[in-house]
Amino acid sequence: MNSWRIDARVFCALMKREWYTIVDTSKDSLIDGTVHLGVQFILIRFLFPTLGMPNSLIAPLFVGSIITILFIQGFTTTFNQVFDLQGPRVIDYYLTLPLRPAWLMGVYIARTMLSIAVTTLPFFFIGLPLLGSVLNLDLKIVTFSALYLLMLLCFSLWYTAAGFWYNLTWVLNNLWPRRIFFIFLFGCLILPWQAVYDFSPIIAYLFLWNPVTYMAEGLRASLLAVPAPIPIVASFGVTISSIGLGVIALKAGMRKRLDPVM
Amino acid sequence: MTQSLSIFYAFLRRDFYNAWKTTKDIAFNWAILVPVMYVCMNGYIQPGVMLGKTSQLNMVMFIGSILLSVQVLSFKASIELLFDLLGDRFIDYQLTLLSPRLIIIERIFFATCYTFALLLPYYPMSKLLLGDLFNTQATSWPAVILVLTASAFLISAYNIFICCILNAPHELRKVWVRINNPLFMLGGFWAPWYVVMKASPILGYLSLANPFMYMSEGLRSAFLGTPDFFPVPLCVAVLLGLGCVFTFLALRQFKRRVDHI
Repeated sequence: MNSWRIDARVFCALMKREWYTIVDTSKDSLIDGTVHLGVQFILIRFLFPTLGMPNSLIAPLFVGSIITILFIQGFTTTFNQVFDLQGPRVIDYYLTLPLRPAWLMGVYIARTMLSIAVTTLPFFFIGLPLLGSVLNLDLKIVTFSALYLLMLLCFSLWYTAAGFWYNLTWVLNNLWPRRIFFIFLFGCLILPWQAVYDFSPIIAYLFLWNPVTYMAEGLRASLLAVPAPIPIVASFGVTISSIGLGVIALKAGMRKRLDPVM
Repeated sequence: MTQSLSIFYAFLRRDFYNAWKTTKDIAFNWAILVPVMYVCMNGYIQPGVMLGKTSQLNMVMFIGSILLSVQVLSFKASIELLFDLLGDRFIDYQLTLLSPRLIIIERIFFATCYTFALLLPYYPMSKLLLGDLFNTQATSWPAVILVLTASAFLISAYNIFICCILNAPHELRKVWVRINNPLFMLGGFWAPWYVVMKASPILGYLSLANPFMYMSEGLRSAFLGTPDFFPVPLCVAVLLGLGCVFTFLALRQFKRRVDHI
């Protein structure tokens, strides 16, 4: 109990420090998010419909584009993590603190979740009102909040784990094209699953192998007044399973890079 | 002069030798893996789902997907300069042997050749996978190669210029998120200029200042041979002209940064 209390106190102190950093860099994160929103808004609201895309796809595509931010910002986490492990190794200082490694990872993950969440704020506070009439919003606040938090946790876990698994050169050369790109492109972010199914059921079923498909469809179902082709329970189930696998990957990565005795 | 050229050649060989170590991985990723994924998504699934099965539009949407590879490959070939300027400064040794001007020209030349060479399999690979969906009957391959070369040159000069102005590696993220990403996403990655113009004339005129638009338009024109896109000579001229402008800016910035005399 005593050890738990010490862990909690150090955790809170570290989180307080991280909070200051996040507030300090929040201007940059908000600008990044706004630029990203601007590009997605122009593409989805103007260019794709002019190309011939039906207007009914605008809302699902816009919701999917929120998840693209998680992919892009998450990669920064991995890069910073790997850069630290190969360079200054600030993590060695953290490891000397009276804090168990699991709690330390809690700090890393909470920090990543917060920094990604800040970047997505413009999508909710500027993007949704901008597209208001086209979106046909039906916000189920509890479902949305729960799923969104779980998604943030899932992305933070996996990107932190990747930072422990691979070295800097591999991350720079291969992480995006060999790991992320496939999940990103074939995860129903730029196309809703129902539309893919109408085009080709076989491809749509193949998309179901990708956990991001469930997350994207879950987020659409919790934000929009559209029928959900994938049950929301499945979205939660797959996201929680991905989190479980992410924890295992993170543990293995830590063992690999930090301390073989741990 | 002859001595400078021989040193220039030696540096060029060194750069190729260093790049060779990671080329296998990068070539596999950006010349095979990424085109395969883009063929499936941008060339087949996305146009099919969004626009219905129209061969011409499949191609229009797919051709622009090379922009990401152009930018990433050139960036990988150029970025060593930034890390060197901020770290070991091998460049100081090079400066004792060659003038700053020739060093920058050598870096741009290397990045151009590297990018161009790795981009070459992109479209043949796509043709192999897409078959008849990727109709190359009206394609002028010399024009494709010309546009690719000019694109590689422009992007390499641009990336070297960026390396000369940045003061810390973390600023790279800002450049990618705030400049590179919007430039290529709105520079014909998906939608050609006539679509941008139709959607919003203001955006259309603004796009004329986007170098990526000339790359994608030049490639679409070279592949499809239709008058819907900018003519190839115009695109090549703009790409080469802008490439020269960025080379000049990079030279000036580099000299200011490393040569106080």
